[in-house]
Amino acid sequence: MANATDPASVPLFEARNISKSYGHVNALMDVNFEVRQKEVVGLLGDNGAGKSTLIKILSGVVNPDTGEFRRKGEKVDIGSRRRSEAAGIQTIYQDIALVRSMSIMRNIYAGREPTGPLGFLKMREMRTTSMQILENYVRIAGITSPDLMVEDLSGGQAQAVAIARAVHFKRDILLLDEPTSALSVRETEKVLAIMRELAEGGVSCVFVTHNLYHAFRVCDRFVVMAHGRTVKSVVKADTSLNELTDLIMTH
Amino acid sequence: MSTPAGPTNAELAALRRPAAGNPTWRAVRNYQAINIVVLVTLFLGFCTGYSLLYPDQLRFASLGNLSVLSQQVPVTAIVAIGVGLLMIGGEFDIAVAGTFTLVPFVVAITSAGSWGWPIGVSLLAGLAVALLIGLMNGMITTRLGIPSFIATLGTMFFMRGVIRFVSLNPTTKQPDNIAFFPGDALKALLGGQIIGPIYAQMLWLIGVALIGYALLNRHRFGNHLLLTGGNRDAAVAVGVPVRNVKVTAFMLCAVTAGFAGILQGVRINQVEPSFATISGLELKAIAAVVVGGTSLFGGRGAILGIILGAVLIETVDNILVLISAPETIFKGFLGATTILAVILNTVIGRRARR
Repeated sequence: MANATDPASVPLFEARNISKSYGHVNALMDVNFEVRQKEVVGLLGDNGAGKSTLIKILSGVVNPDTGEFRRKGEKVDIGSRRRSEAAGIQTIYQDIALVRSMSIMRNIYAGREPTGPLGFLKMREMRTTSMQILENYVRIAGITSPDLMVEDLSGGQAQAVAIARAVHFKRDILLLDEPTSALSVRETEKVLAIMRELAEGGVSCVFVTHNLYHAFRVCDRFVVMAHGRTVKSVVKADTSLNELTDLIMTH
Repeated sequence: MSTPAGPTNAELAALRRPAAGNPTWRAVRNYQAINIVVLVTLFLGFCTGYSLLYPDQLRFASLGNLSVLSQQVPVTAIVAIGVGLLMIGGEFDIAVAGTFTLVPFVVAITSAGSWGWPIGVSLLAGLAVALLIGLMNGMITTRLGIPSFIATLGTMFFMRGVIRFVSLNPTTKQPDNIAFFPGDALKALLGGQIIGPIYAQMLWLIGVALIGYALLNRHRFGNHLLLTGGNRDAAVAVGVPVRNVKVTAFMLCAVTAGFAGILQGVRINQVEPSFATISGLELKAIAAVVVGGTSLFGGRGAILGIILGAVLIETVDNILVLISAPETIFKGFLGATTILAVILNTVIGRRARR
């Protein structure tokens, strides 16, 4: 491990001493979680381990009772969705937040439309850029035009569009909450491949999943949670599928 | 207990919606305006052909009748554009007939008699009243969380009351028509004959349609409206101010209804309290909108379809009048057509996904 002054050792994002309780239920207790540059980190654990509470806190939907956040070592506030996005975090949910009755292009620019002085859309710019986004970030077969309706895409293609949208708007941390659970085998492969490519291209991914095989294929590091605590953080080289399985089963 | 192992994705794949829908039905759904173009063309073609072959039975293609249509269709179509935009945003306004009546009432009363305001000021007052009605409908729906169907039902009855009050004839104690002579210049501008059976209302419709198209398909507002109607949660997640978008749509809808009411008043030189009640304008507008392929559930619709829907509805009304059919038949037709159109829209959507 490099020393603390080396900029490469400063994590991209850190959550320190995060606690959250709902009434008498301690959902998170003194949790530390970090995302490093260019990595895919698997957030693992059984149901009720605290994974989704942590994801909700990171995406700004839920505020923790205690704790602080740092981006590249500097304290940041991620108390709302907007602030979380400003800190570079984008969440991609299982049920994709796309509007099915609209085109890919209009979905990519939803809420951030490039407009002229009177509020009219810059259609040409939108079309060329969306085509580039589709070609650069997600080379998923079948998406031939940004004018396709999202409802005409498969689950994996739609997931890819959601990822492309997040990446294009300069988020460098993607939280993927069970992104493959509704996908076919082939589409899952593509989404896993996209995660790898994103990490190498500088977008770190937090991959929340129940499927340890998938996690073991793409993740550089694993964080195992149980009963509201982080049980273990381990890099891939130092662990095995069996050990991870045991960790989750025994806690 | 979660199982770390397992080919669960293979099972899920079987449950997953297949990617490829039927491309033909998909095209039918995505370009629904084309269906109605075909339908309207066939219908108008049939009526024209029949009336040319048997002019004694059906006086459809006569200059006089076409003039009536070119003054009547735009009024309904303009109301329908406002109702349609609002429906794309996922809300209904069934108070349009009230707005359609109250706004020209305001203009007619303030510009004549003891008030005697200049017509320009009266028109601005009418616009202000329309904006206020839309704001009220929008606020009740979005801030109080009352379904727009109920909220606008309430404002409709409220407006009927106001209209009854302002139209009360002091001697008969009954609601009465009010004369509306806004001057020759305005009459020519809003209802003058252009050439043959083409009247100024047609040009106003084209203007409103272009503005509607620009707003819906080329403006940020339209994108936000489609997002709001298509998936409210997704719209909120990307930061679209859905409540403000809806309130704006309510206001646009009220302005188009009020403007159409002024066109109607100018044409017949008076404003009638019955506009708000027996005209069934809200039904006509909703029928035109859904016949034109707009989704009753929001998120989908096109201006061209809405206009052609209005053409179809008004032409049928016109034919029924020409063949002296009883008025009740038209109301029955409106109801049946609306339901049929909604069923068709749903079936087409389902086929497109399979």
